[in-house]
Amino acid sequence: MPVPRIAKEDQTPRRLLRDVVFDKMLAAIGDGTLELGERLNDDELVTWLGVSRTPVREAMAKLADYGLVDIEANRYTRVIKPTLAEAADTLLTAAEFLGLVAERAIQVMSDDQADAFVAQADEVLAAFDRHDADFGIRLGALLDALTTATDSPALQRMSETLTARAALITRITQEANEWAEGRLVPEKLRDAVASRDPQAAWAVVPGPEFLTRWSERVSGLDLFSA
Amino acid sequence: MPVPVPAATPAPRRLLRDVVFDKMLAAIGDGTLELGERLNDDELVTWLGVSRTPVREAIAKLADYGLVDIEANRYTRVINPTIDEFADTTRTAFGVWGLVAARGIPLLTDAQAKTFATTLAKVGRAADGTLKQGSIAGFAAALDILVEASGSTSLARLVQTVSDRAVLLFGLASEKVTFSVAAALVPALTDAGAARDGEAGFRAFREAIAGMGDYVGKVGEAGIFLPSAQ
Repeated sequence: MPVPRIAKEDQTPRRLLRDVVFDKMLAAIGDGTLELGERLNDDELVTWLGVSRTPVREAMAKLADYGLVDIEANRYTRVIKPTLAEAADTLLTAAEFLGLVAERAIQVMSDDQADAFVAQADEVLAAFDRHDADFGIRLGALLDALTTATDSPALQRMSETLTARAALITRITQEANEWAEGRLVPEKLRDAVASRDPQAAWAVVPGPEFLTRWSERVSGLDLFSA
Repeated sequence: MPVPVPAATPAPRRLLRDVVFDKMLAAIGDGTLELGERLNDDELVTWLGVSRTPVREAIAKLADYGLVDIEANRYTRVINPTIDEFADTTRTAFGVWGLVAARGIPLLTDAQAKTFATTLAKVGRAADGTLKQGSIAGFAAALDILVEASGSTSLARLVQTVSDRAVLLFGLASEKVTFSVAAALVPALTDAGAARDGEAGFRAFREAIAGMGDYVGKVGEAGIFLPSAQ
């Protein structure tokens, strides 16, 4: 029997093992399999993930660069346990970066792209108003679409390093989510793109009073270190 | 003889991969490793005198920061950017540095403000207001002061992901083309720092972005980077 040949267009580029491990560990931190502050042991991870030590170590180095794992040479490696202030700081920086992404996207989007984005944003807002459980996933897809629309490899690279941590913090603080306030980001993005005004993109950056209110609600969850 | 006790607390141990990262970054910056050059693990191990693991970890980080291209099972090589990629990286860096200015400048302590001013003055003096290779690093050092003043670890991480690549590319471009944008940017940042006006610092970078087309055109003509893909 001839070995079936894979059509050329079906071949996706080989993924590096470290990236596969990185995604698994990221998901495990996100869903609580690995807890905040938990010490990470190479041998346990090797057994759990079924890969050799090298990709595990490479993935941990990358997690450390992305601010998801703390490595202290010759002492410990552990999942981050941010303070409330650090968590708020991450969200602020993510919002400011989003302003940068939105500004650039609006400058380069064609009218068709802009219309498609507005339609997608409207769907996200509708899902939001129904309090759909998959709201977060839809919002994530919307932000990805915006990043792709910039056509900027530099912004796309940075987005990856920043959003993993911001998404993690958003996910673990979901209980403290205020629907009315969470709606503001997709709403302002939608309006900025609809108006084709790059300057309007900066409206997605929340004022200090927003972060104060967020911090008050989240401190009740007892998630972060003092 | 008693073992001398260091006066200050010792610096935290640096990870070997970070040391290797810095060395390789410097080697790309000074041309020891050329743009587009293939990287061979064994050669790097011999050259740097460390084992394979930190070398691989450093290369992985260089790839994440857009300084090395890795194609699994095919090659690992130093990036060889096009002029479009140069424009994109430098523009993105200016955007992020603008955020740094907005957050860091209002929080500068008096001591930090003084260092910021003297660091920028050195950059400005380097060549009648136009950045030459050596002063690019000085400019990055001035921005590091603002990052520190902001007290934001997430901002520090964000800056790191673009600054190394931007400083490298600006450095390579500055061997042939003077960075004319700096003539207005450096004094504007100096004034913003003195007035602790974060908004003015932010605006200075926006204006620099707006005025960059001419500069990018000259860098393109100099043939430092690959021509545009189109």
